[in-house]
Amino acid sequence: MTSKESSIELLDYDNAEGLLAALRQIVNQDTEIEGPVRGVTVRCIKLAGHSDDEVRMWAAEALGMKVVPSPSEAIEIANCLAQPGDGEVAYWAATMLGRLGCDGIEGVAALIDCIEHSSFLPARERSAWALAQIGSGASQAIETLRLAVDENLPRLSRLANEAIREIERSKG
Amino acid sequence: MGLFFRTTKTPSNSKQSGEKLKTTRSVFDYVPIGRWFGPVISIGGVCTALFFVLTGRVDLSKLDQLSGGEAELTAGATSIPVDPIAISQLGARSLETIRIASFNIQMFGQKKSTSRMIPEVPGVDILGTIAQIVSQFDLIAIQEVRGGDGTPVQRLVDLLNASGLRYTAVVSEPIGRTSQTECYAFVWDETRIQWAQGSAYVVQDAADRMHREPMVSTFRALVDPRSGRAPFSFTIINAHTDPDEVTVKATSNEINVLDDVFVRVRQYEYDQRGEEDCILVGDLNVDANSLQELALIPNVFSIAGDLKTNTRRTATYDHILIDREMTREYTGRFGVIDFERDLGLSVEQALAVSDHMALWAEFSAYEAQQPPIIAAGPSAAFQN
Repeated sequence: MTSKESSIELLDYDNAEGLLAALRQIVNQDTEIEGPVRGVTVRCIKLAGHSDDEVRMWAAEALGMKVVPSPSEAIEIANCLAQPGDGEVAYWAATMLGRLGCDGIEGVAALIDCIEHSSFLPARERSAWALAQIGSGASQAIETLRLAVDENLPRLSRLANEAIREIERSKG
Repeated sequence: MGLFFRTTKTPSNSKQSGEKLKTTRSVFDYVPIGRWFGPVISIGGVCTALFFVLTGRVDLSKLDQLSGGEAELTAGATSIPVDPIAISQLGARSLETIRIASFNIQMFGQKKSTSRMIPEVPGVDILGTIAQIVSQFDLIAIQEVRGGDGTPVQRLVDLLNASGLRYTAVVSEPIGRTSQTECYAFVWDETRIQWAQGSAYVVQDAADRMHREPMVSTFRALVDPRSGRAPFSFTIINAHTDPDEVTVKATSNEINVLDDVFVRVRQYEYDQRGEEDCILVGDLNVDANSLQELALIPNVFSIAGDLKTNTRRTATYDHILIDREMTREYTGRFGVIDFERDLGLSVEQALAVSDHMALWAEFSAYEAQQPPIIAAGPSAAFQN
């Protein structure tokens, strides 16, 4: 199976029409035959904060089902998370770092920062979830997660609790 | 841990509401916003131009306590001119049975609901094809309605009815954690299905265990009263899980919340309406082997099984789950509407319609014999 790398070029289009065509191509890719959509994660994350609603919607659809991050993209994804701005961008950056599992370790600092400082609750929750997926490599996040557990936010508290358990379990 | 439901209650002046609704032939009951609001009233800021709704909550841990406001229903969105679709039945519908379907209409929003033909994918009538698919069923549960005000569903219903049919719908509030919210909808053929008025609600999830809390409503088949037989009535749960929250590794796996939803909704509906039949449908983003705790509910199984439900026929995402002991009305007939095989579309054309096929199952229009019931619940308020 080969990865779909050709969309990277298409996603360099700045106009909404070109972007939409490229995003539709990603969304409609047959991943069973052509393999997972790789190499477009960072671009799609940024498009999740695009000014055009239609582009945002299709970018979220692509990220939701088709885009598979590569370990080599982890630092750039973490940079997306670290940049202040659109909460949706942070949400998807955290999601992609979580999908990387233990390969998302480069994003741990950014995930901690998101939990501590983001004003967008879904991004904070996804960051806690992502730390659980990363596991033992996220042990430096324990203190932040403990503070999150004590917040009066049921989902964040639960996910932070689960992340602590997962990190400690995977440390053995 | 208690799952809460938010409810739409029967209008205080249902006759008045009914008259309003009759004028449009589309019953658009907007299931209200309740996620962040208290138990008494929440008037959704998203769609108040179209719908006036008050909402209530039911704490299922205290099933006898019901608090909430009353709803005034208004007509749906302004009708838009539509060209009729050509209805070609995949099979004649029987008076003895009803067909129920689940259909994730990928990103069913402004663009898709206003597109008959699109230049990117020539030769396919997008909304017409969706309407053609819907017209094969008596009741269809739709996922991924975008836009927040139910307008895409209204357009779909308008198109169906402009083609000589009599469909109507109920649409949920927009649901989701990010800006990419989705609505659920139930669309049904008024000549064959009756809605239990005020029965629609979105499961209230105070602990926020699900990205998109399921929508619930109760229906029954319309049968010839001269038959002397009770019509099949049922509660249907419409769900769309988050693919990142159904993986085995995920500790907060939504599939393992849905089993709680199924059990509690079934108990609640039995207590409230005497309803015993509960059907869970939707895009669960897992195959039959990954139904985890859902598959552990005694007698509950996925009708779809291993049947591929995505448009490319490579994966099973969609399910119709029933309790085989309670819902004996299931006839054993099920399937998918395959866009390529059944509608003659190319892959590209099919994908322009949706990345999911419609999954369906057939049920008797009449209640099957059930084991003796100790105490019957109150009757459901079915819409006339």
